[in-house]
Amino acid sequence: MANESSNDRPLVLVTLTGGGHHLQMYRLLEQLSESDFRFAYAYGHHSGNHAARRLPMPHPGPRYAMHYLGPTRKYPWRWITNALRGLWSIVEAVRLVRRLRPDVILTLGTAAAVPLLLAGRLVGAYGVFVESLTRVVNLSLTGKLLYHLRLPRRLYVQWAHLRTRYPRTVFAGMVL
Amino acid sequence: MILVTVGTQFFDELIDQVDRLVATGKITDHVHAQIGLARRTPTHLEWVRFDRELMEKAKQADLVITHGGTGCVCELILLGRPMIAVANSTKSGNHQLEFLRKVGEACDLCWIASPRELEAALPHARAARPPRSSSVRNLAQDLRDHVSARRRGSVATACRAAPVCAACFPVAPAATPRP
Repeated sequence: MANESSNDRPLVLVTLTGGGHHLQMYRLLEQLSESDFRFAYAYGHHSGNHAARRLPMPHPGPRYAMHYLGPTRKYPWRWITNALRGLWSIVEAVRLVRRLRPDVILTLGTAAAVPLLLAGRLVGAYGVFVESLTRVVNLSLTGKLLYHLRLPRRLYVQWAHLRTRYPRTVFAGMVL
Repeated sequence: MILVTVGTQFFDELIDQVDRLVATGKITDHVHAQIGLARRTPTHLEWVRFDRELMEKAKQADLVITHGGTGCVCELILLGRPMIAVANSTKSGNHQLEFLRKVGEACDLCWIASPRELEAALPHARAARPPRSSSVRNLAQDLRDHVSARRRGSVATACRAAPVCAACFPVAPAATPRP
């Protein structure tokens, strides 16, 4: 019975990142109920550091590791390693998404949204990207990339006037 | 007690400025600083690099001085403590400044564009109490409306039919069905 009902609910794959993104995602997930959705999380790990795995989240769910893409912005001149990092992240995302087959991929702010939403397209998952609250006048590089590639079905911005520059985005409120 | 926090970042200019204000007697309160990845360590303050109980300390602080990162600013707004947010202009595109300007309008937040203005802002900040916003409910409602019918197989129909969905992204070509 429990198993049957659990299969009715859409599986949401959520990106789990530290700092400000974590708070924003936490606030958003608090508003989504476990009676409506099942959750799984993808977190970034870097040089064996799996600290993000233990970040608190309002709903339980399995947590899966992906390589953290942060160093790409930290060391922009290491373009060969960065390119490999990007390619590898796509491989990782495709593996994860093919295994989980999520119905929805919910990403917020993080660069890992690009490989995950790309992989999500392969299994027909509904991709959602929420631009970080910090992005007031412009989309982030990740946001711009996703916007122009039209990867997410829904790209939320948290400031209404961003829609004048990016009309295909959606404003519905902010996480505060 | 005054709490200074820079979250997971570094912001030496802010820490230096607080250190200077304490050294010159402009700040007489006890100061506890969370300095993150700072390259220089302060000499006149009690400091830690990272603190798991930071928000517990913030609850007890009379004033919190924070960098302009979303995590710290939002969490402190939600706590409702008197605070000053300081924009770190060295961050990419000075986005913290734009962020603080907008949040300042929305939440009646005391913020400054540079650590140099800290001394002047101190007396104003103790009075400010940012209100809690409930805007996240609208965002989550919109998300739920679009996502709850997202069981595979029913992907395109619900979204196309909904009148609110004019801004929705174009639907992808047919996906591989779930085995």
